[in-house]
Amino acid sequence: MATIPFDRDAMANWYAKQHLKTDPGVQQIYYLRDAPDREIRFIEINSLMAEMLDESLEPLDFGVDRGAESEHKLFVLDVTPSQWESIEKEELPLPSGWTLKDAVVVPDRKKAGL
Amino acid sequence: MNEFQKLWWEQARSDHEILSLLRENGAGPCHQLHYLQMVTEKLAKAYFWGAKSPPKNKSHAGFGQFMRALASFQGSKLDQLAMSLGFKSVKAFETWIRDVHPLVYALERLAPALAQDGPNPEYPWPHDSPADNPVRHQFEVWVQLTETWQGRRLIKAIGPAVERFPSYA
Repeated sequence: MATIPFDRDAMANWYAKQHLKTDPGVQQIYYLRDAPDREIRFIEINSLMAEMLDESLEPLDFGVDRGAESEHKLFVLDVTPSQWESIEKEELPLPSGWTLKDAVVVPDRKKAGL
Repeated sequence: MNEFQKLWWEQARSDHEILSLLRENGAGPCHQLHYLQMVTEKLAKAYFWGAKSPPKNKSHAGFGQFMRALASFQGSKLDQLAMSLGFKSVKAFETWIRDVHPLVYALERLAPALAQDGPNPEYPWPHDSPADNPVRHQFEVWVQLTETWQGRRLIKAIGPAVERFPSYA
């Protein structure tokens, strides 16, 4: 049986597109590419999100396709626009091991027709 | 917390441990939804056993009512609960409870007894002539839980809500 190899960038684009469609509060999604091969890390800036304690900034992870060739983990960190500003100014730390190095915005809204 | 509550709470905690294992291991949505529904139902029952009259026997409903009960807390009890679930203010917590209500209700309705012979995370449906099953089905409630911040916050809030139950039971 043919198997589909895991394409992290394509999968990240697909997830991001879905999240932008489903959650009207999502302004922008940063895909943090400096991560293990089988991990997709997102920071989602959400304008409709309630103000949360900074200590509660922990990503939620989902294991996907365990045991399959496409096995991977999706981590999503939800932040408010003001928390994002603090992250950019390095006033608010990212989760351990996370970095904005090589981070890109996904997907391109125009290309995705959003 | 009385002894009845303790029994229900312990079961909710145990179910939550299994839910965490399922999530970490990437189990299919139907299995995660099944446990999520069970944890929330048992947590709600643990809470309502605090009243003098027990919850309706075998009823699967209650999570929505439980969330509304949490929002009706007053003063420092409400402050502490909101903070323990990660919210910066009571207002933010109350807004989230209002916004997440449709999702809470949808989760409650996943129990086969409430699913009206339709999509549920345990058995094929409809009963008399099965046409779909949980492992094939794409649950809209799963999309909302995983693709919106309200849903992800709900998943995240369940853990502390279970662990800190004795403080607000």
